[in-house]
Amino acid sequence: MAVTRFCIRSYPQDLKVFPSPAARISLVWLLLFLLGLPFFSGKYITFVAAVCGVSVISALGLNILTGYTGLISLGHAAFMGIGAYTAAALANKAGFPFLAALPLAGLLAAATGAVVGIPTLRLRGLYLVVTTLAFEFIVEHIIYHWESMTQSDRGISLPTPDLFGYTLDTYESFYYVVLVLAVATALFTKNLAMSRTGRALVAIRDRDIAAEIIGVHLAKYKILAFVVSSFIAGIAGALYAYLLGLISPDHFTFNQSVLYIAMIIVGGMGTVMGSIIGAVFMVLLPEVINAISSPIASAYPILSPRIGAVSVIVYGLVIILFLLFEPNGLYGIWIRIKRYWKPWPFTY
Amino acid sequence: MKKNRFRFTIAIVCILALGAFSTAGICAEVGVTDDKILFGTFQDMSGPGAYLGKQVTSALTVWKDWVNDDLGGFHGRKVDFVVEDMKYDPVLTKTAFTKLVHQHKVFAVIMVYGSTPCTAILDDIKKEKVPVFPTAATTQNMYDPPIRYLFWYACSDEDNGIMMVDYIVNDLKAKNVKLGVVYQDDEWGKSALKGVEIGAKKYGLKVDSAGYKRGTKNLNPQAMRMKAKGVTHCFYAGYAPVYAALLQEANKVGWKPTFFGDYVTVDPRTFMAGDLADGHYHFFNLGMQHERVPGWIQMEKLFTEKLGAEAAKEPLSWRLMPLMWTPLLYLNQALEEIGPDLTREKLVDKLESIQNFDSGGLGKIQFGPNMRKGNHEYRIFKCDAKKQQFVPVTDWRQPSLK
Repeated sequence: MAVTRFCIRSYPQDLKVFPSPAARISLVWLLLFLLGLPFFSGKYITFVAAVCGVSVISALGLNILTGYTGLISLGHAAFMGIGAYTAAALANKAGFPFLAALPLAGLLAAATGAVVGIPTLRLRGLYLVVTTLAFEFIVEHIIYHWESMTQSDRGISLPTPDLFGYTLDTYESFYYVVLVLAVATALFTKNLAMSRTGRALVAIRDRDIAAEIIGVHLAKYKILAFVVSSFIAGIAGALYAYLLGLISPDHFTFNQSVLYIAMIIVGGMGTVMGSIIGAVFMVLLPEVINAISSPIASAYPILSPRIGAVSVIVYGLVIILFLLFEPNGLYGIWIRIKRYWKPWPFTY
Repeated sequence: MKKNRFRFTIAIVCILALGAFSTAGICAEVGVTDDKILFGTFQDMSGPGAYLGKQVTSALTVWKDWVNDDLGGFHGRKVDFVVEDMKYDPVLTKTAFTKLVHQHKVFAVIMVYGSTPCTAILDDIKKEKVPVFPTAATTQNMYDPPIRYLFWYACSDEDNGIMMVDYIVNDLKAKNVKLGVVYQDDEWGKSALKGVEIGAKKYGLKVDSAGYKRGTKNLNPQAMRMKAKGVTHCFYAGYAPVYAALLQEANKVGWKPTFFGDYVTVDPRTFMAGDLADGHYHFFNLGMQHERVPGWIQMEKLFTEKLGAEAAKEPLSWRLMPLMWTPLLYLNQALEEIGPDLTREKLVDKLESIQNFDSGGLGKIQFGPNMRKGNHEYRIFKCDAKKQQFVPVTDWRQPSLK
């Protein structure tokens, strides 16, 4: 926290979510841009923006668990899957409206998170990673084989969501729902991080024994981190399901869990802005690679079958380079740029 | 001042109106201009099915060059296509489809595959009313219930399952038959099991089955189970290397049934089992390269001309290449017959109305009003392990039940 909030000069300023006027002004500009996005971009960009929004929500959830509390989870996609299938089953089979299905999806994921959180009281590091990995595979197996509920490979479709009598039947309308929830999740996470609970989570991450000595209840906060993280993942999963209109087991695989871990690493662990930047970056990277490779493929058709392999190499290379040269992620780069310009044009 | 503002407003309105009308003049239908028809496709270029994406992209490149350079396009319009990488991921497929329709503004989406990816965009196809011709996804929901804009051309394991029982009872006239199915435990494999069960019910036979999880390499438990049940004729639905492994496991445990591999096992990797693959049966809906039918000869010639002899070897070695080429020939005929006034609706109408299409022996393809399943006929092949060939033992035939 101290690293990222370098410009803070007083305690009252430190207590504010957005400490400087510049931060508040740029946030307003960003919000205006995001609100106007569907008006000046096409359906495709709006859809990609909505996917980015869902990924941001999910990455923020994982950031609470892994970034703040230091509990590495490879089961994040499973929590999303639980949320998605809960929403799908409630909406499709029981006719629940969007407003009811969404929180219930989060709650069931949170309840599962509480159950998974219990073993974490005794596990750390690689042992915890393997436990969450096992959980991921169990959920994958259940989704795949509980045919009467999930319809296995065929997938389960969701009705068009309806909000206060307004049908969200376009990507544009659903984009605004995702945007509101993404902003709400970001604000919640930021506030959580600055609260007593957030400081307790960070203390557990930095040194759990020391945290316990100073009075942090390890069991309570570890389970709480799992519950909050999985609740947010469940909400993200439900939004994903509504956005896509149809979900199948392939949506919530181990690869997706790795992707979310990559998001918070590339963005910058333990920061809200890092999770947001990382999620947007990882969603847009394949799109950017596609956009660059398409003209090359058109100009040199003989190369087109090979370009796919090159894009995978670029994708992997970007992640490796970040891990090697910028462990603080994209947010770290942003902070360095800010630091460079702060005293400009003076050296000190 | 007021007068100037009024004139300025009128000028802007005129420019906008002119722009709108001139655009309408050039573009009669989305993706169609006076000199070009733009198609789109989403392929797995970097995921688990990347080999498939490469083959399809090669086929499309050859098709484009052939149509533009040799056939002179369709009614003065050249063809072009854009490829989006979907990495065999349903979300990326939805993204790719949205991009093709709304950003590239393609006329139609062609040559796609993948059960999960294609299932993910079923609603979008209905909503956007963009023809998708064809999908080779192996799930029944691609054609049942039929979606006006979605055409399916692949091999149905359900059909093959029924045909296996028909063949055993009517052609082989086997006695004391015990049917078995070893299948990959997903929609693809389950459709094979369903087909065999339907066929078995017709003839009053019993079926035992053993599924295996996708990615399994060792089928020893399945072979043991089938042997214990005394299975004499076994249908296999899954990938060729796993089929080869099953043949080896069957040999190890002393189980010697007659195998019937589905269309995916018509693959050089089946010969990994050596002599154990010999004499077993396979279902296939396409012409084989060694049969030297006119369609294959023409396809070989075009691939060699357009890609170069060396680069053409890889796609041509792929036995499923006619699965790509036959629909492209069919599409050519549709685009030619529609005439210069090309629209998406007319394309759909034409695709479902072409009769007795001649692919030069590459495969049978036929759609109809409310019929989006383009493949109904298959042949049964016998594996010749020494020559490393699949030799047809029947003519084209259909399953006895639909």
